[in-house]
Amino acid sequence: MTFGDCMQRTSTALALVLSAALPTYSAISFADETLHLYNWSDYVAEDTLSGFASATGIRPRLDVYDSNEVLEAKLFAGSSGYDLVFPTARPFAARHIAADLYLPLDKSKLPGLDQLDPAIMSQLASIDPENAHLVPYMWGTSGLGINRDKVQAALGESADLDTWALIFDPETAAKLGACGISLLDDPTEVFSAALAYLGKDPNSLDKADLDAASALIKAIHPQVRYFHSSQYMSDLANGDLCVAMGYSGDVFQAQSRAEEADKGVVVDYVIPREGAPVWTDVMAIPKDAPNPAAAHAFIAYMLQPAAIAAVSNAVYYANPNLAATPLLEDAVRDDPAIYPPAEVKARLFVPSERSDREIRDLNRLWTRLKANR
Amino acid sequence: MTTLAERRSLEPWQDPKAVPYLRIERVTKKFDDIYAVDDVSLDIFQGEFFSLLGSSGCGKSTLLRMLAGLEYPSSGRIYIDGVDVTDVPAYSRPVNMMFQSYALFPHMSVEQNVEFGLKQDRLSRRERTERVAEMLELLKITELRKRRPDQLSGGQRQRVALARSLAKHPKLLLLDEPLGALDKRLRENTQFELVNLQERLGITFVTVTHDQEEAMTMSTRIAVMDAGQIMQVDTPTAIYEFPTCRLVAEFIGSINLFEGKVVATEGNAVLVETRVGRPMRMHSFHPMVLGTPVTVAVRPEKMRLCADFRDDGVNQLKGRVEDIAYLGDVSIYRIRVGDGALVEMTLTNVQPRTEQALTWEQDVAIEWSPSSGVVLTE
Amino acid sequence: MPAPPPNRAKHTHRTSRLVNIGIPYLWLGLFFLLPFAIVLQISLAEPALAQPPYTALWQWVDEGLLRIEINLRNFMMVAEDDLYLSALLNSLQVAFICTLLCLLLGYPMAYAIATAPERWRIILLMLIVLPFWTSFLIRVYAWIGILKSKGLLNDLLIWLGLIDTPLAILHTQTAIYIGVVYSYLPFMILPLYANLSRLDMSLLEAAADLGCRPMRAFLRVTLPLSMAGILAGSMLVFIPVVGEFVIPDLLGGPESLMVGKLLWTEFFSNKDWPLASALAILLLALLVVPFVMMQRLQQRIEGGRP
Repeated sequence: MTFGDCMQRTSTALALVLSAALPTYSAISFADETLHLYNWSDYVAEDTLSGFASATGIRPRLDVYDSNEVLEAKLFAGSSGYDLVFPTARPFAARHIAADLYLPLDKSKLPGLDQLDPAIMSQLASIDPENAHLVPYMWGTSGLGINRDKVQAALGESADLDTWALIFDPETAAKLGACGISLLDDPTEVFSAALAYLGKDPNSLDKADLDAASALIKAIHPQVRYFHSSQYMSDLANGDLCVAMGYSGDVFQAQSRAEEADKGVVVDYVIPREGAPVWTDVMAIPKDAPNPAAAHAFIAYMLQPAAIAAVSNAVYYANPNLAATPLLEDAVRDDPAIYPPAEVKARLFVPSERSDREIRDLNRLWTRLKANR
Repeated sequence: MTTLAERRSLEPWQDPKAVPYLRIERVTKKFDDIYAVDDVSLDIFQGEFFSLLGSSGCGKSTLLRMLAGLEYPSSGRIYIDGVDVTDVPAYSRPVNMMFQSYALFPHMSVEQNVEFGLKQDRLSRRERTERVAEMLELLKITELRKRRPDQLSGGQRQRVALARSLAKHPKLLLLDEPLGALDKRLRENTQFELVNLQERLGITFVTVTHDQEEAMTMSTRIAVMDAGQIMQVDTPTAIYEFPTCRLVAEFIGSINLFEGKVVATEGNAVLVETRVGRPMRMHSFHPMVLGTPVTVAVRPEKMRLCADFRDDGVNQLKGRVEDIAYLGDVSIYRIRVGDGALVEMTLTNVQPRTEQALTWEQDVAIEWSPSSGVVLTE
Repeated sequence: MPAPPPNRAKHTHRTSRLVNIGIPYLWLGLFFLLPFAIVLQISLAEPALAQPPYTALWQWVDEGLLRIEINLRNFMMVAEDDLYLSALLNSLQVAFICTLLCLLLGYPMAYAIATAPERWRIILLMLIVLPFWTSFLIRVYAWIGILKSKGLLNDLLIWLGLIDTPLAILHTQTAIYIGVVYSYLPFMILPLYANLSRLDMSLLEAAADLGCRPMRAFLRVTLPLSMAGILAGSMLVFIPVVGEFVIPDLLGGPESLMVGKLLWTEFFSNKDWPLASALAILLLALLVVPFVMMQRLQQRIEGGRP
């Protein structure tokens, strides 16, 4: 993910900050306090910040990023000035905990923790013992965004659409290259998808497996228009891309943009049958947060089923709050791509922990692959 | 080298059969609506040291630039050695110019500057080296050959510029204020050097200057210009002694002017009545009609003290010394005469100053001869 | 009133001189040497899972025992891995070609402005500077709209009937060239203009008078005299373009490997600050050499003193 991306949605963020800046003084205890949030762009509901402000009297200030790396660089540099951040659990939050960047939560201030999905909590506990630092915010999958009409025009009506073969099978990719293929600029995600397509362990670091995945990516490289982690949203919506590997919620946003534009572009999100990476974004309080009390207040607010359901309804990502599920719009709750049924869930895989060295090697391999060297 | 006497006997401009080397024929140059040069015709002969003299903005530089090909006339023709060069670009004209700012190439050494024009002529390396050495020798700047322009004094730069413009052995050299950037002492020495050089090389020089003294010293002939037009073309002596109009008379040296009108004609002399006293009798080269308004012009050094002042005498004035300027060799006296006008008189200081005849507030009578001034009609 | 001690004036004079000389050095020390020292120090450390994410260069182990660890592996890695070398070479190539293109485009423009009538000059200069009033990022984004497959340029070319299928320009090295030349052209034009506008036109007249045709006069007089402007403009373009990140990131494709992007990856994706610092140090070294060479050349041209 890149610097340019960060700027793309700054205007939305600015609007959010402005609306959040309208002060409300209903609660006395937090009057005149400010909470500095650092979150992904387009990752809250329209009324999240104003609702929080009127519930607590704390003025939230929202800055946005759209890559974990940018967030991470600020955290490691120290004194980021933020009270609450929203990293992806693996591998990011995991190594932040290892580097002792986060404040342990005061769970007495967080009623409603018990409503969170125990499956997700126990899975998080493997990187955050006793769930001491992290509260899950949203989760989703990385799959394929598809322009159905164009793909079917290129491959035929009866073609299978729920498979990584759309991008990883060189022959299929060659047919789709002209109307546009994009991949995420994220080696972990792309490698695990490629390995899943090859029928291997998606988390494998075995050299032979990685070589096979590299060869696969090299073979389809000429058909890839770009490696990018957010550009595909607008291109999918405009019909400039046929197939994009993307994050579920982002593809859904592209889908609704395409519907709004009403130019006959239909975007689908599919979870390939070979399996797909699943990820969880979490809330965490940096150790040097200026106002950890306000951060706790925000987590507590987001633990309210109505508040978190509103976010899911807005951004099309699943939330881990079981009590919130009844409050979701039907279209969200019943969408198997957002809340996958059990048999699909079984095929999703969680990226495993990796050492810094392993990640660096993977990233350097990735840079080389992208440059086609 | 011709002597002055020889020269006088065969001045080309007096010889109707002589063919001019440079002919300027009804040349006009307009910038937007302003006439910088207005219908100028001039013939300049081989070997002349010709000066265009005038105050700034009179069009003399524009005329020179047209000769060089740096400007093109709006109308009129220019011939050099019989060839119409009016539309020939600067780089093809057989003419070189020394620029007022010298325009030396700052990124080249003295040697390279001098060699520049020769390179354009595709001379062999040996010829170029010889020619450069010759020019450096001629201008006595051989020691400076490796220096760059910014390491030279004003006088040295002037020599380099001259060497550069002479290197191509032009038949016609144009000099734009050649001494303008030098200090007074250096200027005087260089004047003579320039004349010697010109006579030695036999090149025709056309210079532009605003300094009348410089023009007088160096030139064979001078053209006095004003407002784009030529007022008078003549030898320095004639320009000084016999100006044809008030403008030329006033531009060169100082002069006493008495306005009046013709009251009588007596052979080749006229009687002019002025406001400052009795009529003046002056020689005139042209017949004059009675009543013509004229100006009598007499140079201060032509005035002398009058030993016998007569009430009915002509060319005599009475007055009182109001101001004395002591210049060493001469003194200038300002004398208030009858009508309140001031008359200037220059006397050579034959005696030491302390013993001079005239002092302030002294009543004096002055006079001049009918042949020592001119009667101007314009 | 007693006269001030005679050496007082001298003393204040010396102090003011010290201040005059001192300020540039202080500036240099504070804003160049100090950051450089910090980056150098990081480049000699090892990445670590900590805040900050690298090891300390020295630590007191015991009373009187200072342990200094210098890790040269980052430099070795940059030197050994051809990825970094090829990124550096590609960056240099992009910078070189862009500088050349800027020069070829910028020189005639600067010359035209410098020789334009007085009242036009200020307008033309304004036009050169005007794009700066819009954010650099937005201008680069605008190029995405122009160059993309359904963008303005392709639409225009198809409409004109010059091409049938859209040209793939966006996400290629060509797009980087276009973006860089567009963005950096003013940095070439302005110093060239400053130089050319000071050019004494009588020098060209003198050249013509000495028999030099306009083209030769340009080559022998104008060009050598504007060399200082050419060098200044070229440095202003070349040096930042080598490390340019935004333009290759937005307009370039995956194959346009440039050192700026590599630095970003090392710093952000790999959290490998030491390696990123080592890369930055090598880049700096690589740029300082031509810079010093150009400086020398410029001194020779300008000063002309033996």
